[in-house]
Amino acid sequence: MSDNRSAGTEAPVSGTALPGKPEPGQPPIDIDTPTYRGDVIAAALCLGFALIVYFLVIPAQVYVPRAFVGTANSPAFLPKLICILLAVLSAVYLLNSIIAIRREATQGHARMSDWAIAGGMVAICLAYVGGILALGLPLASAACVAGTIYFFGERRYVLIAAIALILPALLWYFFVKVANILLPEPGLEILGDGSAPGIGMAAIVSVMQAAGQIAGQMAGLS
Amino acid sequence: MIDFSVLSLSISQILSWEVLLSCLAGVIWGMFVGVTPGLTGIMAVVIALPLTFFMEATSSIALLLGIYVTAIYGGSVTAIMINTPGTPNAAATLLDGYPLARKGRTRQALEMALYASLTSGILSTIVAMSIFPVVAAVALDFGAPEVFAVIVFSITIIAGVSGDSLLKGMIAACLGFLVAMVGQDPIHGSSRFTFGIPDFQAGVHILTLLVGLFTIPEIIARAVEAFRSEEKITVGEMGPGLTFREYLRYWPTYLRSTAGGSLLGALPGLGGSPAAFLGYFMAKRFSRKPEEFGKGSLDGVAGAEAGNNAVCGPALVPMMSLGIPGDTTTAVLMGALVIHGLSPGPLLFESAPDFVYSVFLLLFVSLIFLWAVGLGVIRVAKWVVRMPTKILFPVVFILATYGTYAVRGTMVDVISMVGVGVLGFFMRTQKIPAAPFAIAFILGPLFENEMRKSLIISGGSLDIFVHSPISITFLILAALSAGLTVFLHRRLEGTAAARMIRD
Repeated sequence: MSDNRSAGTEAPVSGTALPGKPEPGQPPIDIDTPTYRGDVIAAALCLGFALIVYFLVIPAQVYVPRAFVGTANSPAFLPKLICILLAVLSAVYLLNSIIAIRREATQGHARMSDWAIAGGMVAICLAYVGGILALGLPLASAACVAGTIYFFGERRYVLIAAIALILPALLWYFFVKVANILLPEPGLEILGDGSAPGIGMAAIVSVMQAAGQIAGQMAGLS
Repeated sequence: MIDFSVLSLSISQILSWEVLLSCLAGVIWGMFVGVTPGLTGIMAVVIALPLTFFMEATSSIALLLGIYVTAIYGGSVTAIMINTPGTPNAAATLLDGYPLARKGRTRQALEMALYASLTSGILSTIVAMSIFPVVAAVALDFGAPEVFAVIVFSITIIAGVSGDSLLKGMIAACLGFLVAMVGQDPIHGSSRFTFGIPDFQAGVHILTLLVGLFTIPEIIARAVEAFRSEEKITVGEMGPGLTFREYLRYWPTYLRSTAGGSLLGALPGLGGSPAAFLGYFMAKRFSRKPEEFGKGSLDGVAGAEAGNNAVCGPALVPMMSLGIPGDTTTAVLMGALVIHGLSPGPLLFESAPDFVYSVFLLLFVSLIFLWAVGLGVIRVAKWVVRMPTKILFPVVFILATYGTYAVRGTMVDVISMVGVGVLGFFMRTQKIPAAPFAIAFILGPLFENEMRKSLIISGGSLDIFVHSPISITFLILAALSAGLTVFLHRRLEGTAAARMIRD
């Protein structure tokens, strides 16, 4: 595999450093600079994903009419083919990365604070989704845009408040009044209307059912 | 060939204030929708459709064509400035447009996108007008195996946009293929990977995926950048404009992309996104500096934008000559014609030739208005470029969420957008390229659909793929293209050129 590491990897190989550990005093690298350790994790995840999809998800989630079992026209044919290809490519990727780690002793590491910031932004995204389900889109957007601008480091509170009020109001006006698109309303998505579960609850129930199916498949395999 | 007496009649028909103002209104509305992430051209056309009930046929088609043409270009503005494709057609534009903006060459990228769009729009409309009956006949020769061969050829672009690791690019493409398979099976209609969630029956929407794959990782990366720097960070600089000499330098790219885009436009069901990727691919393949692609190449922007805009004119040909809409937007346009008592199909040219020419002339008028409005938008763009990222990206996040929700009105799309975004960010940290993922997602369903239709026709025999000269030609081209890319990757590996590309 071609080498696309950070400057840190080009440091002379030290016999004392442990594989994958940074040299003392080595400068941290950017979060989007790949490392061999990261490559190993990514390759292992891809390989695991391909195997899980092939052995567990496809049998549970792809219905194949009896007449098409084992043919190229089966709905499962291409997904299986792609999974095999993904598994082979991921195995090569994994092998290359493991060999690279063993060959090259030093490696840079991204700052933990960078990962924490990235994690914080992901948490904001997830909270926003939860907020939309609980509060509705306009209210959740007001809270999210204010929170995100603050998270990005802006401290002019009047400006933050103005954007948090004006932006969702304008968007609400455009989507609801001009484009006639109904926006999610508070609570409905999770709680439903009392007689039937809402979309959010239905999704949770469906995922749990699918997980049950997959667990059944696993039991069958073992 | 063109009948000039009918053409002069058509010119007199479209030169009325009502028609021209309708067209201008369509262009402005199309631009607004195009630059708003998440709003698509089809949505803009559908919103405007009820207005046309009260308008005369030529004015109503002027309004809708103005929207159709402009929304395609408008999508590139946000793709270049904030790495967010305004419409799916702009997915290939951001590959080089955004790196150009980051290098402080925003104005050049925006102007190149505009002028490439105008050039290919004009050329493809001339092609469509001149060889209207011929194109319709050629399009009829394209059955499932031929379309499959074209898709296989287009898929070889994955190797070209994989950056310095073909392996990672192919892994990303496999993931894109798998995500594309969520939803109904294209032949049997049975569910695949829907996990019992009804909203997944229609699959993951392309806009959801593009926003998730490109916008969310960019927002997360910008959050990290904003924390680390005390200085005011902006997207980039407007920089210098495009010179006439630079515009002229990329004429071969415009011509190649126009040819590819016109062909894909005339084939029903393909649309602008594959045409943009094909244009980008050809631009890279023939470029003297392929190593600049993905890092800020004007040639890449020219190829992608010329490709997607070349679709407009030819896409109207099967709609008007055969009654087959090329994509969803032309299907709505066809509906507008029917509302006004016109029947698209083989008899339209016989019964209303002046109207057919008016439609093509209105495409030219739309392009002229697009030029004026596009230059205005580029002037306004400097305010966006100067906006601090700590304000801009949170606002973009909210806009992207509204747009993603509005496409189908379901929260599943918003959840998918965030999920794909987190995946995209982790791919970014390991330099697993997002472009092959997006290309496989766009072309995957077409690939599977045409392959399986062909196999049904042939009763399972693979011979069908090498029966016609068209499919043989494209399959050979695909093999040559893939082989050449792999060969170049292996030759470059470990060389100074590879290090230059990497750095």
